[in-house]
Amino acid sequence: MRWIAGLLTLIALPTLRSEIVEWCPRLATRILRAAARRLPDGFQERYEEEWLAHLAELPGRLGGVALALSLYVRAPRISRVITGVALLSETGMIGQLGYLWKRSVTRFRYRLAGRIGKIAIAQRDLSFSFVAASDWQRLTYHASRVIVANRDGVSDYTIRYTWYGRANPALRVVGSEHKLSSVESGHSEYQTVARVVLGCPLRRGAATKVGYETEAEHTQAGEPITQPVIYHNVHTLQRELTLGIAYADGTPIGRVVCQESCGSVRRSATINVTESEFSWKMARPIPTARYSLMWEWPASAMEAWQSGRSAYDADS
Amino acid sequence: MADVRISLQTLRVLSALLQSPLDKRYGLELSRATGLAAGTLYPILARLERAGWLMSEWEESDPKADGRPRRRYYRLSEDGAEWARDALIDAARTLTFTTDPWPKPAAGGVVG
Repeated sequence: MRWIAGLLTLIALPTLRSEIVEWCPRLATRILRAAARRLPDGFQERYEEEWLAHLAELPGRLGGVALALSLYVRAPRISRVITGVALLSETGMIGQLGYLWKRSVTRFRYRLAGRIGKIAIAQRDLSFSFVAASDWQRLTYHASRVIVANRDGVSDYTIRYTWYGRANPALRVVGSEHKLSSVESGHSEYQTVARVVLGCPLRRGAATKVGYETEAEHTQAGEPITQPVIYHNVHTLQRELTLGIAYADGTPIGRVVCQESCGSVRRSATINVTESEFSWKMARPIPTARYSLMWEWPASAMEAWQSGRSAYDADS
Repeated sequence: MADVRISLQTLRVLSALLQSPLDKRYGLELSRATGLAAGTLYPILARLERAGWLMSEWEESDPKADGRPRRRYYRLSEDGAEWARDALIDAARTLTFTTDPWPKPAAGGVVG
């Protein structure tokens, strides 16, 4: 039986191969046309003809399919470029913050676990990382450094975090102070000071409320440029987490990605922050859950911050 | 300068175009010159064209006679050539710092 199967394979394989190769140009053309149809009206014909010319001169048959597939995948991006819609991936600043909640029977412990950002620095891309850890006994000071290189020069940011806490039988508070200072191209100086306060009632089963209060101060060469004040509000009612991040004037600031893992349950949600707050229902009550919050600042907000105007002004 | 996000791939395209700024280049030619896949190249071309760095025009030919669709030719605009030179010079300057931007965390301290 085995030799019959081998013989059949020997006969069928070349036929199958030639069939596939014969079909490749037609398949590539179809995919290319489908890719062009993903573009906005008014651009479809132009790109279809341009890409078909590219395909026609491409040697080989499989290469054509690869070309068509790559254009099909990238068509939405081209679409956004030609319609001028900004991409979130082109934002000026991307960051990631991770924190870990742990709850024991006797006391509620709050701990911030480290999370590292990555991302290479090239032109307008900005990366930063920080590590911070805190609970009632252990408090950490940490400094990060951010270097941004773009056409305007090289900016060197130093971010310092100081985390501290104090015990309270009814309400435990963990605070942090962020200080961001930068020198841009040697002529502009910015400074941001933010304070965060968290409160957590002890009693198990009770509604858990966590609140952030942030004050931000932006200065340029000593003068306040405080239009884009950012505030955060977090309330958790056992299984529900509400986060609010917005400029004080209500200007949307971007996208928030939440990830939750609790035992074997892992979920993530991506929320475009268009209002001052959003709600997110957790899979389980708190006992041990890890949340990470990633935020992206729209380029307009970053530019506004750098130029000392509010994001609202920049968008309008 | 018209605002364009300058990635390393964009720099490769600009560099290829600047080698002969007056010549018109089409997609496949640029793809070969830069080594970029079409899926990467065309978004860059679209972005540069939208920002006014590039101009494009159809090949003057008869597709039926040539037996293939018309090519779309790209070339740097007058301003675009200048901006591209500036961008390449700036990139050469700013991308040369290679020191580790992430120092080790500072030693911890207890407050309050």
